[in-house]
Amino acid sequence: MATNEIKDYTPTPEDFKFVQIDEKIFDTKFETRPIGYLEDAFIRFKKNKASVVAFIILSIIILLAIFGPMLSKNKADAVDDKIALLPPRIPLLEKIGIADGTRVFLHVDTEQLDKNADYQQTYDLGNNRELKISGGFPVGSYKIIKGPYTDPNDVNNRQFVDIRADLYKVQFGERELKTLTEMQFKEIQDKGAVISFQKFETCVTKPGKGKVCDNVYYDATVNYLKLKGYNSTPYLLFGTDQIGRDMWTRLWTGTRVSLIVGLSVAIITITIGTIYGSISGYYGGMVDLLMQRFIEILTGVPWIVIMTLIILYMGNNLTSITIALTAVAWTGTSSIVRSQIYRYKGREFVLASRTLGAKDLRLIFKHILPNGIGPIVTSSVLIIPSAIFTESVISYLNLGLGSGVSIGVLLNNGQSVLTSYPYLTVFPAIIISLLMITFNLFGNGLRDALNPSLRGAE
Amino acid sequence: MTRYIIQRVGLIFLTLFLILSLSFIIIKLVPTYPPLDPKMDPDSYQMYLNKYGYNKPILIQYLMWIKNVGLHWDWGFSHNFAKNKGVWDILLGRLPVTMRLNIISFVISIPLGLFFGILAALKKNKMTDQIIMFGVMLFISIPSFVIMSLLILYPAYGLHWFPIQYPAKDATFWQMSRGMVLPVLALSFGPIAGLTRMGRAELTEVLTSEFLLLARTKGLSKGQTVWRHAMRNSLVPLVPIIIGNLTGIIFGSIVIEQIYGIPGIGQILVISIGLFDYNLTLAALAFYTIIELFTILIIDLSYGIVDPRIRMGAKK
Repeated sequence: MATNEIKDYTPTPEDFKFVQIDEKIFDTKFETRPIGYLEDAFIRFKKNKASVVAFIILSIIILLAIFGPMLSKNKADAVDDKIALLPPRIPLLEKIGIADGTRVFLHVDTEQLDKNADYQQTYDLGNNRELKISGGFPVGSYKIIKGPYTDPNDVNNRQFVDIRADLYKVQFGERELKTLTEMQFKEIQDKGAVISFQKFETCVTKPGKGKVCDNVYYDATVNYLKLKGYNSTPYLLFGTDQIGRDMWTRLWTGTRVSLIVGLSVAIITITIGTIYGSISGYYGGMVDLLMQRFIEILTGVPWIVIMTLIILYMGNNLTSITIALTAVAWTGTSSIVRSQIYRYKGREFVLASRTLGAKDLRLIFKHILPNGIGPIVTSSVLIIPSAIFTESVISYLNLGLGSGVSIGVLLNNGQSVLTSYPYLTVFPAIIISLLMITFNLFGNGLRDALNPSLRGAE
Repeated sequence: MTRYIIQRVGLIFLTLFLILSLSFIIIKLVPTYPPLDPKMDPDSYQMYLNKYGYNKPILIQYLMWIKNVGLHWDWGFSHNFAKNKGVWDILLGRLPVTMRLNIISFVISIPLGLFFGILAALKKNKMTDQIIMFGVMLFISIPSFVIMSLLILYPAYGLHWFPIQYPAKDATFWQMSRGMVLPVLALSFGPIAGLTRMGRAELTEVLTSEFLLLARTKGLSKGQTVWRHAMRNSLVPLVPIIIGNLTGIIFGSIVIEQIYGIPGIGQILVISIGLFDYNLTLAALAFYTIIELFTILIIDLSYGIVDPRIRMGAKK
């Protein structure tokens, strides 16, 4: 049947024309969704479980660094030595006896018991690294562990006890404040913290004006809890430092500062390193030779020398520390950029673009760098933890931030009282270790994702 | 080779000269540069001023300083730390304890790092490997001063195994040795982890190479191939890394000395900055610069020595 039909068919001239004579020919569209470089990298990154976990922890730390200080009403620089060195008090953990705000005091004079803590506590940095409370321990704020006993060395024959005291009850209890000015007193009265007070004034009868009183001051017994604006005993999760600053606020503010320093160092380093490396790598020859010799000399200088000199010269503020850290870090980025430029500048697509008349700048930033972006991004991510680390190191050299707080400053601050107040060191130490670990894991994951050919190279 | 070494040493002296000059000038320009002790008796004070030219312009001072250091190796006197004591003598007096600390850490880090690296490479992707690599990740990331603080807190303060501070000068040898344990540990964790990671990477690469397969087909046992062929080849790239660890340890020890109260050169650097004793600071910085530069030199030369295939200084 079919053969008959063909036989009968007589072609017309129309049949010998192109069907699509007036149409444009397109490739057929892919059935699947196209996947770009970044998306591909993201898929690879997601497969790396350790990196994802690191990224999540890192995000939490960054969020806390941004919002953590807002969660507490204590300012990072609010000094109050009456609540100095409060140990951490953490909900839930306090029930099992860890971080419950108590501290053991040995060899306490019984005279001190059942009295208000009139003055701030003092701490002794000598060999006897012990906390002392002048004044006393109010009723119900302590439990006697041992005693009362007498000390044969004590000439006054006093009775001593060993106690475990709840410092939150001691320091936030009733306190006597002396010689308050009128303004200070009004402020405290407005908070409803005054329990009883005594007014002192010097009055002179002057002719014509009657009795004139000046030099007014008050001695008051106050409820310190209310004075600080708390309704119930607060949970200061990380305690307070030697001069009564809230460590929660300080730690997160410090983390924030450290992260900002790391980030700005990374940004400046990338900018300078990219420009320097691009020029050196792209133009090559004599330019490259001279620029590389310069770098060679710079890398011969130990970073500790560069940083010490810059900070000594410029003072220890945020700007000078950022500059010092950048001065150390940029050579690394520039050599990575240079090697990337060398890798791609001879490729055909660059030649093609140059043939079409593209200028050097366009070639570098539009064609070469986007291809070699992987290692550059990875190394930039790793600049942040190393900057945070180096900043901590120079804090230990007493060259860190003079005013202001960073993780390094906190660590250095806690160092002198490490064995008596471990929490002052332990919490910043945990945060900096977490930052280092997560940044490194994240950076490694990023490297594997951005250039899969390097996977597992280290 | 000889020519290359001479070239490199020349470059190092040039670099050293540039760095020290820059350091000197910057330190002279530091705003808090202190006046000298005016309580000295006037004659010796004047002599002192003239000898080091503190009353002259910075450029002249610089030239005199070059003369003093270059010809007599005279780094000047300490002002505040130890009155009128030669700066270089102070450093030399503190050199032994720093060197002992650094060299012990360096020496114990090599076999341990290699051991864990080899173990991880041989047991790749097994439980042992994963545990080792987890440890490596931790110890590469956690800074040595954090480790030191934790070591002071637990083994020293909590368990009383070690002193919480480096023992004073008159301590016995036994006490000194006990005091050395924690800082050495804190300093070597990082290098051990780094060496493990690199050693594992290098050995894994060699283990999968074809000449090793050939060695196996010739009839060597697995132990023989690993020990005689793989190890030798994988160790070559590690030599520069091992030497490079030394500078890492030395710079790390600055903070460790500060934390643990070890009377070494790192501590001097910190103290001198705090006391504005800039002659001392300058000498300490010079010490670290010299160490770093010569380590870089040794690393560069070591490439050619451990692997004769690399011809140093050859034209490309």
